[in-house]
Amino acid sequence: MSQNDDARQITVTVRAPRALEPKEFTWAKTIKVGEAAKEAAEAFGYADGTPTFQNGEDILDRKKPLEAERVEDGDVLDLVDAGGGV
Amino acid sequence: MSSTWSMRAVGCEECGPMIPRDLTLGLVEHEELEPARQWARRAGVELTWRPETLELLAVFTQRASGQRFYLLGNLEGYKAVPPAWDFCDEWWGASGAKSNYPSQAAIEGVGSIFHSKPVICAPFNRLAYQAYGGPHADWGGPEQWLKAAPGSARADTLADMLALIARDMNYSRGRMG
Repeated sequence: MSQNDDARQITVTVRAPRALEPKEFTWAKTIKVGEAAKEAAEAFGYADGTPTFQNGEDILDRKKPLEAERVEDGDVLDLVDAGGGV
Repeated sequence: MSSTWSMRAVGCEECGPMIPRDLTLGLVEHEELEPARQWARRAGVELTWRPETLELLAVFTQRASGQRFYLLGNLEGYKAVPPAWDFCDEWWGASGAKSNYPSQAAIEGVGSIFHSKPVICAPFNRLAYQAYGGPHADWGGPEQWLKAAPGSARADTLADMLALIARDMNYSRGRMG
């Protein structure tokens, strides 16, 4: 992999409420939060829902790229559902 | 402690028999309790499990105000029906009082599960269903909770439910009433 490829990607650790162990993922910085969260959710066994990430205290916008939501290499993200109340 | 709570959370002749207590106990203690405890430690939530009454007690500290909120989950019948989640006072009483509930959360683009009424409006709360005195007659019975209200807040393990409640708590300011 070239240096340019590395620079365009970030590796983060994702924690899911239902899981005892986190998982590591590598994504392009430009991937949408929702797409990345969906991939992570599926890896943790979630079959349903509207997953997004929480970075620290902030709920990330699913429509924006990871880099726009200031996700950086090495961050620890928490998986959370973004569905609304009814 | 929980006579009023018991009537609100459990009494529903229309809903049919609950599943055996031991089944709920086994599921909670062997599968879902440890992830919930681990999540709670990360989130700064105090979590207590009372196996004798099948109750899960969670104390949240609201980020904006520093106030403490006392959430009691009655898990009788879980997982055939969702838990009955209710915010109580600090003595774990006063079920269904607005003053025990956080105000509506303000998360951009996300509808809050906290409304103007003292009930968590999500399919994973038994008290949101009309059969248990809640506002939702449109979700079917609580036994359909895993498929109710597509597109709404989804959580089908205790840890996921607590995380969703914490999500809105963190964007809530003050109390409902």
